[in-house]
Amino acid sequence: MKYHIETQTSHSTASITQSKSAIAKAVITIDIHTESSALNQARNILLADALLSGAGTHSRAEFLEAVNLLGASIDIDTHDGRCTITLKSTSVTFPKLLRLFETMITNPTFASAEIKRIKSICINQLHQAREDSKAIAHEKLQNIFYGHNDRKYTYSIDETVTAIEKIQKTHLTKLHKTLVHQFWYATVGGDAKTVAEFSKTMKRIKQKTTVSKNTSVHQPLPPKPALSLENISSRQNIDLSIGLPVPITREHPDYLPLVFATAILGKWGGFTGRLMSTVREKEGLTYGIYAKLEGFVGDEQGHLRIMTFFSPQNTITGLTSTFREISLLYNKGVSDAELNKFKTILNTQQILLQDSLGRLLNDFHSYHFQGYSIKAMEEQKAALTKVELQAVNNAIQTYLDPGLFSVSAAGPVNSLKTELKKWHQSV
Amino acid sequence: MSKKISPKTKSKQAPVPGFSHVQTAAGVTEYILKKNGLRVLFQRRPDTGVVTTNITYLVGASDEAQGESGIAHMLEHMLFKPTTFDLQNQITAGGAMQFERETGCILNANTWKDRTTYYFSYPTQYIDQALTLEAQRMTGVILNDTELTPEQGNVLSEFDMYNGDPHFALAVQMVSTAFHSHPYGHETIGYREDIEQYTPAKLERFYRNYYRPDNAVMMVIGDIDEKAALLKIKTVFSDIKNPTTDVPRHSIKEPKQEGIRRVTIERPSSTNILSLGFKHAGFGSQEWVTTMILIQALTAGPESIFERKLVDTGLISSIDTTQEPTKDPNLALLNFTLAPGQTHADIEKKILSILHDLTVSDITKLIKKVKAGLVTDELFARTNSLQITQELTEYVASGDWTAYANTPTLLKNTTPKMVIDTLQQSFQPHNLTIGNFIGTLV
Repeated sequence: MKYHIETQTSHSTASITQSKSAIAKAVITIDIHTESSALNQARNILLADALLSGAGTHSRAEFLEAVNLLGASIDIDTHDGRCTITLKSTSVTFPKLLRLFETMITNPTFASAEIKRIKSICINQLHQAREDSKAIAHEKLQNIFYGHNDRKYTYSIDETVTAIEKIQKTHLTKLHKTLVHQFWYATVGGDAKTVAEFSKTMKRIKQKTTVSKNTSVHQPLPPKPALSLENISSRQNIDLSIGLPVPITREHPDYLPLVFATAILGKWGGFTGRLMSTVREKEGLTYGIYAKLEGFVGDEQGHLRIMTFFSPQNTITGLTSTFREISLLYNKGVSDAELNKFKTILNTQQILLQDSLGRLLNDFHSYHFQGYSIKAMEEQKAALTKVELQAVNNAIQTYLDPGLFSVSAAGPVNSLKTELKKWHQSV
Repeated sequence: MSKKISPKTKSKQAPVPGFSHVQTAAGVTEYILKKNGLRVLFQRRPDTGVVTTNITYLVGASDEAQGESGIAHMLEHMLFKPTTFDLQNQITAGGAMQFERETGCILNANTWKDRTTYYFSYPTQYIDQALTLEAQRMTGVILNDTELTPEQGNVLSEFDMYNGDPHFALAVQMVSTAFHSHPYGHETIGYREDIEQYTPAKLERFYRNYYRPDNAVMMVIGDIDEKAALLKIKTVFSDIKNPTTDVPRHSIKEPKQEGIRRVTIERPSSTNILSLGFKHAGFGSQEWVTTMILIQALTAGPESIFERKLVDTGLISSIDTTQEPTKDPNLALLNFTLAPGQTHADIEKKILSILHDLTVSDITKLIKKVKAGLVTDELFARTNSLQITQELTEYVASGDWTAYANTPTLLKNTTPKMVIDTLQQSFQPHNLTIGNFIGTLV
């Protein structure tokens, strides 16, 4: 495996070269956020389908057919004002996929009939999302932490539907211009030919672009405990997102200690976190309960979020147990043995990446798109092994006061509203 | 009936005494531990530093008795609790949990209709621990109320998580309507009412019946020498004896269906779903692959038949599908979430009309594209040890793991005519179950 990053004025291309790789994959992240509004959020939602709906001389049907005949895929996702494009194919078909991708990016059609179709599909999908209690609990928690002008703020489904109805071709053309002229972070994995072709394509696409500066507003709000309740009567469990804003960036010296504190509390995935071993294993209150730091991208501040769900009858008990664990962490901190155990766990995670080119690529890209060089990435990974106990416990004391946590619940909450409000006031 | 194709390979000498070489296909070699019949599948993946071990027991929801639905899955949870070996060593959290907490390995398990699977993925240095844990869990699980009660709560929480989803709730009703007798008529997690009634004695009986070397397949895929891996397996597993009784199996043939079966459920929801279920052949066969291609052509991606005719036209919001890789014929589901204002009756009529009118020439190019996509997916799936074992698991449970080697050929051999023939057979009234989820909220 050979790692490389080549940075130009308009883009940065990172690569992992694996000889004889039969597969090729590339991920490109572009910050397309300008200002937060329901209209811009709606525009971002439509972008993926709009880009895939015809380009150059290809109609939508012709374009999709050309991609699919290669057995390839182009996936486009926008989240928090960032557009991520993933290209996947065999090594043999990758050059042809790149040519189609280039056409899609440089010359999308945005035909009126296609925009009308996409709007109708998105509105139908948003209607379906009204009962997605997990996503709603998450979004409402973030909205407690970030102002209307922040890229992490999510407008309601009704506001978004109204905004989608107003979208016209000019909105998408303007967004496309932003997409093309922003700085691109692209990471590719595959054999030497795949890497070379990808690098050439990036240079060709970006050679005529003038890089514009991101003007997005970041508006984190001060920590203030709040309770958000959204009744969704069709669900059986109450989905919960619990957390608080953490007013630092990932470059702050407290960030890595907080990575450990969060992992010890509820490492995402698996059974190692304290919350899984107590709230799930010992008390049998939920199938899953995890914690993670979210939203720490570049110079943006983020937040800590605990994700879980309880049956209505177990919700108060479950919340009480969860806050007991947060309080325990806050009041007693973590031990040296725990910290060392989690250092081993994080080290193993790095080794396990070696099992798959796809995993290595995703990990590399997660650093690359935030501007890390290979050296800086390695330094940050090495710094994790050097985090000291005192730093972890200081960070817990500074940022994880249980009294500042907010709770967002979505599900059959109507019959529990009074009890939940009373419980929240008592925390 | 489905026909399974198995490549035959010449038998060779096993590199470790005590094992017999059975066959090799697609770079995977099968051995059998002569002393107790434990089967081993091995593949070397050099230079990664990572090994995945996966033990699959040939027991699942289809082996459950009436009133004990979900017990295979409940038992799966209990294998993460302390064993008798753990208690001797004061490991109160359970060996598997401690292994994850001390090493950071990936660990998990899952239960399906014909199998229960446990796996660890870890740096090679931990292989002894991983294999020892699997051997200990094969015989030493402790089943008592103290351990069972909290885990029962977790499984009920898991059940509620699934059941809150209208698609799952409808799927439960669809399979129970489609199958009157065959055990595929209940979902793997079981019914809430049955989960609440589990006892340690019921679990113990199930455990002793099915957790035994001659009913298990141990997979080792990764960066380890073959001889070393086999020696380690022999060390930890060879003293485990099988019960003197045979592995109990149901032998149930589903009665003939004589017309469309229907089911409706209502809930306070804004979601409306129409589900079309049809029975298909067992996994590993050409017919299963043809059905997979049919389902992809009908529903997967923007070029598929129903995306173009129903999603793009605003009649439905989305389509999702299931086709389980089970040993026996099972029910595939096509679930259509209705757009606001559409009725179940109108959408059903439209779907059946679209299916009726499809011809070979309509789908010829589409099939070519679907096949190309599936070949790429298959290539990606075979590039890491965890995914390789996950895929092999389904083939193992289907009864002939060597079909894994044939999938690319089966994909290649599928013609548009085969797909249309399968479509015509699949959507006959005697093979069809139709379900409506009616959301009563406006």
